[in-house]
Amino acid sequence: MKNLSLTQQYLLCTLKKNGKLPSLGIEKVLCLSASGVLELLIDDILAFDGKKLTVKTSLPQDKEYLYPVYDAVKRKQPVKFETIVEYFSVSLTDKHINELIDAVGESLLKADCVQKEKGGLFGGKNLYIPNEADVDIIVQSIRAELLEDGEISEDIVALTALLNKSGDLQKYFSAYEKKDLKKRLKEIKDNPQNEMIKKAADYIDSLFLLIVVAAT
Amino acid sequence: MSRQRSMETIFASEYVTIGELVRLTQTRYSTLKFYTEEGFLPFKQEEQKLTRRYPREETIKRIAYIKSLREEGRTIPEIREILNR
Repeated sequence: MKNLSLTQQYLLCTLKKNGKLPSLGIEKVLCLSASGVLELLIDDILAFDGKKLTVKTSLPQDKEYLYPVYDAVKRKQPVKFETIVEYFSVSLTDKHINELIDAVGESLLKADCVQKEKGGLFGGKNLYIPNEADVDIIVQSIRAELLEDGEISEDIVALTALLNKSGDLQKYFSAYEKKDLKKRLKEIKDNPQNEMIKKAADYIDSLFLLIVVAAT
Repeated sequence: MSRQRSMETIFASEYVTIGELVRLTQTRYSTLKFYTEEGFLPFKQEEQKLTRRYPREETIKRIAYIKSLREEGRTIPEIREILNR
């Protein structure tokens, strides 16, 4: 079993069998970039004062795949959470998000969780075909933590919240299980001890609200 | 709420959770839950509603043994009998 981070797990679970992110729906792109910011916050590499993000420490070598996110915050700091997410998701070209997908995709290739192929219109796009066994272990880990009594890790809660927001939870969980998962997530969110997770869920909620407002 | 433990930390722990067993043994959660409910996998639980903790080495060996019995074509009642001997 491999040690995969929040963003690595999120990308692995959202990639299609052909190695691409679904082209329709901005949610996956939003959640991938939000996942990058969240991971850096959970790992104390970025700081958030409730309004803006700043860089707290240098980027560790084992997190190099998050360099596109880290670099964007570093250049724009202090910067709003949504500004960073918009930088990757709401732009005229796919350049920024493709950089992030490639960085995380290469880290997954190194961890032997994907196969890399060339694709796209002129064969210039990198495709990362997910290893189904690795995806299954992630899904089973979510089941084992959220459908069981007892403590839950921040990483699993953040991953489940992101997968739920991007509409990927239904790919892996039955309607019955999803109901249980959502109930458990709400309990966690409402528990004052889980402040960090509440913040993470709130970031994601406010982000989606902003996108909906911007689109209307 | 804690962070997910790294594989290195899990390998060095005396007790592990069912989620960690999924990662250690590449066995599906539903299978481990079933084995637990059948009493095939002993665990510690300080109070009801708290996390079940499984002795790592003994449980990994037990899961490997159950898998080998399944590969031999043994049924669940047969496995139960073997484990209770």
